[in-house]
Amino acid sequence: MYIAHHVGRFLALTAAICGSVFAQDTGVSLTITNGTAVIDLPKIPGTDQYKVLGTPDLSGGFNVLNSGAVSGFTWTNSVGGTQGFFRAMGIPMPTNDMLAGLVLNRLAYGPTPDELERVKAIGADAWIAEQLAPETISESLDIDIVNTNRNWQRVVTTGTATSKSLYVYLTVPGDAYLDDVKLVSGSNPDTGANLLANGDFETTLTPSWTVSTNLSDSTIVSDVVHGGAGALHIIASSAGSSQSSSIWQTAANVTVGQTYTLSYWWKPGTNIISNMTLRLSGSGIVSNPDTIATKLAGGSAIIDDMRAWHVLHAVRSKKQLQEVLLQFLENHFVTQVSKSQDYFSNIYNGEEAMVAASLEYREIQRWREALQSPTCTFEDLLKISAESPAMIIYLDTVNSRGNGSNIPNENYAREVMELFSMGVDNGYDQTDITLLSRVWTGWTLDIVDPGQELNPLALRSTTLRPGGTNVNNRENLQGTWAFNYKQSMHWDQGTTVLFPGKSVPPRFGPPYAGRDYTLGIDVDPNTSTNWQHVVATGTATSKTLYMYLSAPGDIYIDDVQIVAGDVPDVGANLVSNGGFESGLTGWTVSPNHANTVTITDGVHSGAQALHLIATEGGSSQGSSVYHTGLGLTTGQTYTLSFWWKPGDAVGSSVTLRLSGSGIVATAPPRTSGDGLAQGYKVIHHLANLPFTEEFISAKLCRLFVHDNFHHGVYDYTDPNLSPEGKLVKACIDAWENGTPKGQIRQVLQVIFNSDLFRSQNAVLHKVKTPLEFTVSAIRTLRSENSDGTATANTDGYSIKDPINRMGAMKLFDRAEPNGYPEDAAPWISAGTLAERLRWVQALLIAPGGSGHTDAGNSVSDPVALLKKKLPNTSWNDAGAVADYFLGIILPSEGKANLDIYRIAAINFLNTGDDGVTSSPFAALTNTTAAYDTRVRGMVAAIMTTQRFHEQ
Amino acid sequence: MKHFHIQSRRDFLTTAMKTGALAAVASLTNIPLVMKQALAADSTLGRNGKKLLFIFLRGANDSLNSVVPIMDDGYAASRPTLAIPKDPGLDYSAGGACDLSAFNTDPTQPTFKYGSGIRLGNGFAALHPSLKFLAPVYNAGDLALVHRVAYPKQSRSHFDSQNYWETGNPNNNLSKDGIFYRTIIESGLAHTQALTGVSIQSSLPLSLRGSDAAMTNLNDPTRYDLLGVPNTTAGNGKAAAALNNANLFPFPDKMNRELLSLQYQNLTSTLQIFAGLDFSEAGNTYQATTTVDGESTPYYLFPTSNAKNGGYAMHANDPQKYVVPTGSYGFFTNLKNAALVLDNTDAIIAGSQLDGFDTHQNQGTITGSHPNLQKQIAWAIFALKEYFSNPSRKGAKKITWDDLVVVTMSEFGRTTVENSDKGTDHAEAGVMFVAGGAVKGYGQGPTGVFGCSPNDKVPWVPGTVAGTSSMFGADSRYLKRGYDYRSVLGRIIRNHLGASQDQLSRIIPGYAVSGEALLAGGRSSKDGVTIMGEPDII
Repeated sequence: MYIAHHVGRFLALTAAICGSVFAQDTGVSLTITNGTAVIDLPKIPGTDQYKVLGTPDLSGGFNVLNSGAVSGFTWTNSVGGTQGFFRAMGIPMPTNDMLAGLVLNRLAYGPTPDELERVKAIGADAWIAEQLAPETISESLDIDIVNTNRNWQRVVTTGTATSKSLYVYLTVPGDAYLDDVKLVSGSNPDTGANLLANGDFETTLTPSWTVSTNLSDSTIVSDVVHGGAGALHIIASSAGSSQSSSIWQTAANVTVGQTYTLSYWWKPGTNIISNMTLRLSGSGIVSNPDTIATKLAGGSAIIDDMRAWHVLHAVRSKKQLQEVLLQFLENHFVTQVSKSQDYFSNIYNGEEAMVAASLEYREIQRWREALQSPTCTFEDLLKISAESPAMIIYLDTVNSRGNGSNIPNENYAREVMELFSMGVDNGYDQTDITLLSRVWTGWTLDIVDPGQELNPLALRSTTLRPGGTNVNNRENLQGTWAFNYKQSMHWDQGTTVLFPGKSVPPRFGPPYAGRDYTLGIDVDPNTSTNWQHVVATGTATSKTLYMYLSAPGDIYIDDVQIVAGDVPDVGANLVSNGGFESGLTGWTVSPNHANTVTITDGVHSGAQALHLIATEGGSSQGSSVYHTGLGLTTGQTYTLSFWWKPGDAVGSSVTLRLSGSGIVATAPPRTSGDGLAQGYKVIHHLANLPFTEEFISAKLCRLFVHDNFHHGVYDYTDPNLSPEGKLVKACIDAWENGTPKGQIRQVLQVIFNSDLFRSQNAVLHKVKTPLEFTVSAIRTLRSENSDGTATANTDGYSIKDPINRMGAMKLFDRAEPNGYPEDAAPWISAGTLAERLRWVQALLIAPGGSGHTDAGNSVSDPVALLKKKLPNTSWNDAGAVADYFLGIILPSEGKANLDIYRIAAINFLNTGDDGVTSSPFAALTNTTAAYDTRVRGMVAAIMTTQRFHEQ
Repeated sequence: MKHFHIQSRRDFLTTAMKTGALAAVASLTNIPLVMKQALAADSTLGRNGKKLLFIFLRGANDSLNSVVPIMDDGYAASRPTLAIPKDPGLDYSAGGACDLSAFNTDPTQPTFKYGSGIRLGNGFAALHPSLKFLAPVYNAGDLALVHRVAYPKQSRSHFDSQNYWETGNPNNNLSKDGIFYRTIIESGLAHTQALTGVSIQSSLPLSLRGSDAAMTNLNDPTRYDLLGVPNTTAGNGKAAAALNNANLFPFPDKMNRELLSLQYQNLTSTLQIFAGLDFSEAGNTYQATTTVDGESTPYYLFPTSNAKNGGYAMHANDPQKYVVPTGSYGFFTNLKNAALVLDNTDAIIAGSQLDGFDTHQNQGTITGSHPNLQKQIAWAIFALKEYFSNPSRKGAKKITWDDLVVVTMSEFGRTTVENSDKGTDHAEAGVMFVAGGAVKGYGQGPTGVFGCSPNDKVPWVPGTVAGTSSMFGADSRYLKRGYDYRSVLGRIIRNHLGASQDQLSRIIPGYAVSGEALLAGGRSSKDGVTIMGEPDII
């Protein structure tokens, strides 16, 4: 069964593993030189120990040979000249340890030393269960805490002077308080002379400070001070960014290139967010007192803040799977912040970057919220993307028109099928794209009042923001940019039938094959924009008439009449001012209809009509426009009639009824035939098509298992279907069989329970993206201390440039709608590898050391880590130090497979910086820079090998 | 005692893993290719001193606004906003050289002020005025404009279609190695010299990817070196030694370990080569040898700063004198570096890409985003001609302009009819720009325009008749194919780079299928469209 071949004159050799089958493919060779036998061992993933077994006679059993030695992948032994048979055996690493490394690499941004210990202790399955339910993980990260402190707060920043000029400005119009600004030489804010004049604002602002025009309302105040008798109340009428839009001074005694520390006290003004920046010209020292979370919540974060926040969650959050999924979603439903910024630059002058970033923030927060639900479905996630203003701008639906002779833009229609749901070449064609492009016309944006962000029928905000003067200028409005539906832009030219006559192909097998997935989108025959008459006859139940919209929206109403008897409009109208010729006289307007106005253009009769506008749906007197004291007699018959025509918003119905519902008249809602309802119908349809189930499942498998999963090719009826195809099919079934369909957690559970994911052979097939590479490098060396510090850290901002250089990965700013690749080949080439290796080396170089610059404010302290984790008796033990770091950096490789790395690491530790001179590690004082450098160099050497790119 | 439990999954191994045994099989299959190459007497591939520079125009260039069918009445009718107008003073049906009205005689005039189609002189087509710097290349006979280029069953997905262009294998999603990678494998040089195929962009494009040899991508050659801890000469040496040592470590097989191993070796073997070249901005002093637009001083060839951008600095920092948009300096840095690589190393194929052609909205007519992209194409080709034609340029001068072909690729063309956003959507056939001293352009054949004339072998049919007119010939909406892109690339790889026909049939498998009609043209067996075969461009 296992005799493979004879090698040499005396020995017959085979390599095999008891009870296993891999040996048949595993080449081994034996050479004998001068009585020494050398066996090249098979290289088996996840092996902790290799052993060689031998027997002189095949009729006897094999015994483990205690003679001979294994080093790396080589076994050597002296032989006595007798014929024998050998086989090799590998002892696998414990499954528990293997799985701990696996799940932390795939379901997290790599292991941290502490988390690796924890997962080994509780077991991978318990950890997976915990991660699948992020809502059960208690976490309060400081980066998520919005600063609501209204008191004086201190900020300290140290940096290198790039100029003598200090600017103070607000990046958004508003106000804040500032006091006791100090700039001192060195790194200690409390040592040395203040190089700024009048930094405590105890004398008049000028001449020590120069005040630009946009800040001319700023004053020295005496009632709100931190120290002394005066503080600066900085008030900006327009945004600042440079000297000419700041309050600034030149500190003559500053020397460019030297280290200084800026400190100051500040206090929020009108808003808790200050939007204040203090910086030296050239940005050698920059300080903004607002926390990231405050800026994000306040809508004044720019995309670099968002990126830093996203990275910091990846590094620090306990909800690692959620972070991995959020990055997956962000990348799957890709948008491009620079395109949003470009769009808003036509509206704003300076704030477009913040508005654009806020769209990305709201989008990811909606996904985060959705993922908290145990039954979160793909449809939920697709819907969030479709409703995201960032997407509406990115794929050009924002201006797409389908009315008249206009040809709708096809961009979103194509990509929503090709990239976001069904997958390319998978169940749709150009005809479907063209048809679908009509559906999305009218899906555009507007700025709406707070609370209306999720109401596509909300009307444009009419609230002026501070300093705003013109409600017709959107820049002057206070509100939130949100998905907004405009019927006037919508294709409304006939019935749309998507996927006409198409059915699911046979390869899907039962129960999917043959399903007709034609989607008829009915056009409501009532698409008239003319005045229409509604009549209802009944018995009076009260003298009060209610008029309300059932949902947010608008509609036009004219000539409301109630007459005695059952013939409409004949006899005296018992509703005074039913034609709104006297405005709203006689009618009482509830708050939800407060925007209701009368109009003079396009009325049904007379000079005026009512434009009924609801911000929330109504149902009763308190949520309606109502008329009391009508001259009705309860119990008698009357006929109610009115004229209506559609407003800009559609989808809600208007109801006019008597209290008690004796007479009810409703204008039928246009529930279909409009692009809003059509769009949602399409989303619902696309979300659970077998093609979508296949494409998204395959993509999740590529994320969590390995690169070689496909869509559109597997024949699920084939009895010889590959394991990959079988796993995708299992995902499709889990998707299909859930109630509701498409629950993300159910699909993930199938993947995480699969053999392809869990088996000993499944680890380390994937290569890290630049984001995964950088974040995992920091996490690998990061153990958090009780005082909030950590043995490796980043400010989040310092990841942007490195991952851009490692293959143009720009978070939230991908130009192409297919998102960043998940597979290895696009990321791995000589140039991108050089950037990866350089960055790891920079990360391991001590802050301030030559070459650290590339890593910026990403830092590591491997000596602090090893002293925290190893007993002090091991601190100078090269073997123990090498073992520790190999164990946390390459936890899934197997000790035996790491033997060659261990030898190299020990050799590195025992060699001087020149790489030649022997310099025993045991002899280094472990508090010296030499020791620190040696450990850093060894860790960098391990982390720059090919193996650290894998996960 | 615990034992391994490794499932035997033959198909898993086949598709996913390279075990030792399978790796051996894979390399065995490659050996005959190399041997065939060596035996092919008619092949000089990789040894004839000829090179290729590619520029991929990502996002799908709107070819109808590049090489404009200006005499097709259906053109202006389909594009109320986007159509390039005729110059009322010109007769576009006249023959001759490319009209030079777009060039200034007064150097104080804006570089791009001409607002009409540049008459190409084939009686039918015109260049977009933003492509004016192609005119001198055209008139020198060094430019072929190949229109109506596509492939059977054209995909209108960016990503499918880019992949098909880059693998040379349309409609085959299982083809995972690139057309230029296979070209280099056929040359037999992939394993004998460190540098063969190079891209200068953010990551290695599919056209240069393959599993058996590593091509090289550099995003920023000025940063192409490694550090050490400490970052001193000694420390860097120690780190490099550790890295080189670890690169030789054997490893258990995993899906991406061969890739990592090849690219690590590629990294360490090319560091020294690139360290010897001056990629710095300060070193970018290359200037044209001829002047344009009435100037007395030649422009810089690679605009990587305002000061090196056309006549900006010569005219008191006048932005109207730019030759390319200021946002294109990154591209021209890459282009310059690709030129330096071809001129100073043994690399055979180098290239880069230009992004942003997915002009679904507000693409601009005479000015705007699409014209801004086209300025870069034209200036790039003009600059490369000037650079490689200059015998006194810095560097090793391994080749001349006669030894180089510059070719652009783009995944498809855009809709004939503009959309409601004043943009164009995904469509079918596009245009390829092919330039080089050996190209048979104007004056060396009937014309330098291929595929944009009613006199073509497969005539361009004017008008707006769905299904009949060329611009409405595919799906009754799109510009119909007249050439297969493989016939264009194939002709370059064989006639210029020196591949034998047998090699070409392996590089572009469609050549081995007579029904594809790539060589001589005819009715494609794939979709029944009649195509013209190889254009006589080189």
